[in-house]
Amino acid sequence: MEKPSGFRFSLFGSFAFFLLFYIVVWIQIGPNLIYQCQQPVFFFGARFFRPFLEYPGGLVEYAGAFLSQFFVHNWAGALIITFLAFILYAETRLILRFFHPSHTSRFYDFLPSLLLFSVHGRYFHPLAVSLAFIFTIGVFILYLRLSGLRPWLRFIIFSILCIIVYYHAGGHFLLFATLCALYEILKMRQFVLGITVILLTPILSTVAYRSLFVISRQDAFARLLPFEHNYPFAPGPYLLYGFFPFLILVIFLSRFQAWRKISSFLAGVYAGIKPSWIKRSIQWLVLALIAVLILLLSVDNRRKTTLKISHYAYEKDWQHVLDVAADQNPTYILAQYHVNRALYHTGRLSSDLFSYPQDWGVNGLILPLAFNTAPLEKSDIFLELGHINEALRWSHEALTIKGDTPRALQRLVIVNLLKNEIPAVQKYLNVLKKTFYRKWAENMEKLITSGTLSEKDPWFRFLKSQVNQTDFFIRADKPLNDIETIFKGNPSNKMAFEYLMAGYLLTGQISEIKKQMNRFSDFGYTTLPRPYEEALFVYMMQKDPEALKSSIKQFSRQTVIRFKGFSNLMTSQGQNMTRIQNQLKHQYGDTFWYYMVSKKITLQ
Amino acid sequence: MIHMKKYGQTVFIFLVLIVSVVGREAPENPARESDRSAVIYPDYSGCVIPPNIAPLNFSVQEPGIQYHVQVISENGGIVDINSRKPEINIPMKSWKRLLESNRGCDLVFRIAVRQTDHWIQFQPIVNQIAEEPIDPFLVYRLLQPMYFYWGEMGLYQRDLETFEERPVLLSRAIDKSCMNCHVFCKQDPEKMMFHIRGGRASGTLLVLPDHIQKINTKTDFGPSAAVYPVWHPNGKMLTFSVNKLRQFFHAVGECREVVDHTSDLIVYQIDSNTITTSPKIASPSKLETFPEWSPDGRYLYFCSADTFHSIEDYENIRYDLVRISYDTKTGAWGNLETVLSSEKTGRSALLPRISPDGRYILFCMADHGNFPAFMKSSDLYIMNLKNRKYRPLDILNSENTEGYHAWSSNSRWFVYASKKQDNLCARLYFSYVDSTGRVAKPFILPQKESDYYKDYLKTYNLPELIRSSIKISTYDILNAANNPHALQAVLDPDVNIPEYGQERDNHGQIVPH
Repeated sequence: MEKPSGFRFSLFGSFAFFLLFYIVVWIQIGPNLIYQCQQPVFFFGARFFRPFLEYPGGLVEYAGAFLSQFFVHNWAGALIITFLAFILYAETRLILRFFHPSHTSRFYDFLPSLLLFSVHGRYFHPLAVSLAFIFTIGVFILYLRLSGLRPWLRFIIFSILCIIVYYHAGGHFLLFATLCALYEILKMRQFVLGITVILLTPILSTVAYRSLFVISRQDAFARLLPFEHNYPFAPGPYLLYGFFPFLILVIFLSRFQAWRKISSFLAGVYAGIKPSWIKRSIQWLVLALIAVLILLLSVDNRRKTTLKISHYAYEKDWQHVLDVAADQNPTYILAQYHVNRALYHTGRLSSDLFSYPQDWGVNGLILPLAFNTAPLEKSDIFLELGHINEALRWSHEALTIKGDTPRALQRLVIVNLLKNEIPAVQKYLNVLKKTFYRKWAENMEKLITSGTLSEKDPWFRFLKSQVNQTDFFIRADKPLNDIETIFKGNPSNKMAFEYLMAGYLLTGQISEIKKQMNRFSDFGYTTLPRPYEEALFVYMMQKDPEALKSSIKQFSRQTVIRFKGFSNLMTSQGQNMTRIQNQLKHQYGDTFWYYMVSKKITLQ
Repeated sequence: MIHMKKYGQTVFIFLVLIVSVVGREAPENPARESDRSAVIYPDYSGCVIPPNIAPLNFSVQEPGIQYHVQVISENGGIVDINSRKPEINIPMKSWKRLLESNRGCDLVFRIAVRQTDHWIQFQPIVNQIAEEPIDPFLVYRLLQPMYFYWGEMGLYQRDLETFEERPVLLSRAIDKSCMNCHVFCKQDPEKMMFHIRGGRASGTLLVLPDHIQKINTKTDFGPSAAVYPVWHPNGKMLTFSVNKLRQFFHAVGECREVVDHTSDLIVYQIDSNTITTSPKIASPSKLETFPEWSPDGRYLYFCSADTFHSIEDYENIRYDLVRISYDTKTGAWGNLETVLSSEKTGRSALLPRISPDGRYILFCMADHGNFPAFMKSSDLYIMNLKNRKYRPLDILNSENTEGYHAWSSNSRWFVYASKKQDNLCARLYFSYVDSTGRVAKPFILPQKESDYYKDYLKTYNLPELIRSSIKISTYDILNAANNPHALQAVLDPDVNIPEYGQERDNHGQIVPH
């Protein structure tokens, strides 16, 4: 029998929707950025698995930890999210069909999938939460399928299913109980059963908390729900979690006369639209409109920019770091920190420091002590500067704060190699062999055993050449002091030199720069880089104008001319910064002078 | 006595040879005989083991396609294991039978490895089974190697007779707060104390046979709440240090360093809920820490160092081992007596733990400071309290940290933490002390998986042996911990309150900054 054309259209539409969904997830969200944000931990073997059995929601968390590993590849991550969106779509359709057997429109079926997109667009949303949600809705469908049974039997079935949901999906048992209760009260008119169902939830979580699991009271209730205090607020989860209860409420409302009138009116209007392809087109158009809105509103672009920069920095793709920074003008401290690293590695730190935002001053060079949201990335600069113990410390802090992430373990392999702590290196390699990074570990083991790591890996060679050998008390609150000591201990450490100079520049310590000026030539600079020349010019003008006059020829003509322009602009407006801010930024945003004025830096 | 006489040894070796010939799963002939023992991991060779320990599962670190292990002892009960893998899992029941019927005898691992077409028979690995059992339960913390932040951690109890490990409390149940310094009164699981730091569960939990009490030990005396604890043997009071710790980091070598800016001892009387002290154990010119009572309760041992001028002097801070008599009836303190002077040893004496029979004191010595967990130079020493002769335990010390240690209630065993494997994660080892004070080669806490430690990233911390399992439920502990109303300890009004938070000179005078 031939299928009606409407069905074919819908089938094609669904396929097109999920194909588009897949592409948009891949391009717009970028699952590898989710991986960058979350850096999920997973190990093969029973030892890693066993603890997940010891608390509610553990099994779904385990599945989430496993599947999240694939997010390192955009295509695979997009496939997983799209597949979940498809399951959610199928579940929605089944529920709608259950309540409205005559339901044919596919419009509503796609809404939860779009909301799923929106929650993943926030980057920090754990996959396990989505899995738990989809699992719970699936179990609810199973409960609906058994609705023909007697109430007492339904209660028994509910109890069993609720325990299953609780054990597998943690706090989602609350959603399950809510849906079942709404269904029983509103649809089946079983008030006692509905209320009993709700009352069962605190009993279940209390039993779990008191006798079954070593968990906190909060986890006993809400583990894996995206409404915990450490889950940043976003509307997506509320809309997603509210969708199905809302659906049941709407179905309940359809019993009332007023609602019927409104809906039959709308249905009448809708039915009046002919031919049918226009009707379907309107549906798809509205859906597309909602999709675009969600797309625009749900993806956290500031976070995305930082994650992109972090991702490229991890890949040591410095040019891409700078490209993204030039395009997006990042404001987060972590992004500016990586941009400065990229500037150094492309040989532009000294010359182009102010070509990129330096809103965080010296903290954008070396992340401040209190910054602990990205401890592993914090260790990057210490590793590169040769400040090896500080790199070790922050790599360990990364394990403590973020868990045994493969990247932290890789870092610890490298740091311990540089410290010649071979048994520790072996331990981390053993651990990595139980992750998806097994090949990396085995390859590294071969290189270490054969003694060819330095020869074959230029990056490792660079790091090895940087290692600081001078002991001192680390002053993490005054990182420039540490870099100064490192540079004194190893005067050929170019990175330490450039970071030290940049630090002086950003803190206005021009007198310190003056002392080290002749060192620029040691590192291949034929002339003093422009920002330093600008700083020196203004410093001399402030401290010793006579000396400036006599040595004016030492400064490049361009610097002298630009300074004149800058000072004219400043004086012409009586230094009313708010009025000239944009013009200054536009013309002199890449100069030390603009930085000094906008940050109110006092020169020393 | 566990040391075999020569005659017994000859008979035993003869028996071993017979068994190797008539053994049920003997390697196919011809077996080539190696002139050495097989390498096994963990190293269970030449050790003395308790008769109630869980199977010492190991893996044979020799290449092969088939492995045959016989576990043999004098009084019979052979355990035969054939395996295609080098991991040797010894059956629990047979192992227990074997150990029980062979107390005081040698325990031999006969290992043969098949390499393609022939078997290699290695020389037997010999351990000894002690007569005396070890306390059957071990309590410890498991956590990530720590720098500044702490993450998930747990307090666990391990049944040493099996492989069962159960959590007593996990930090995930108390908002990831830190739990530390658990101690028991005379290895009694019904008298336990530990601290929780941070979050609403913060406080000192006193677990007594009839109830659990959460106490706030912070009073006007001392810069902190109670820190390093010890029970008085009478079970009615605890002695704590109160310290102002500072952690700092080095740029080269071992990264972490900890110093106490101030450190005193206090006594907490459980019945009266009072905290008291004396200038003799809380001198402003001294840093007193790591208290330990003698088993008769008449002496308080502790570590003591001069206060220091500047943090730059950290390498010169060395602790003496001292003691002071105490009258439990009157609460009167006697005179301080130096047991071991750092001036004499040139090292810093730390963490004294006296054997329950009062004969020995086990302690750490490090180059300087008071935080052995971070010091490679920390080694274990034993002192005979009768003659005060002390010696390093060379049989167990390594070039890495040997740290926290605790005695079994029968004084024949002690457990200690060591980072000797990788200078990263501490592992727990047990050593036997015979009646003459000789300490045997240690063995690592056995695990079901023989390679367990090779890729295990958590560090074992603060091992304490107890005579039976902790019966109190986690829920009861949580209930007490989450109680917002901790019992506020009362400071004895006779105690003088010195000014804290200042660096002092050798005369106790505040050093101006």
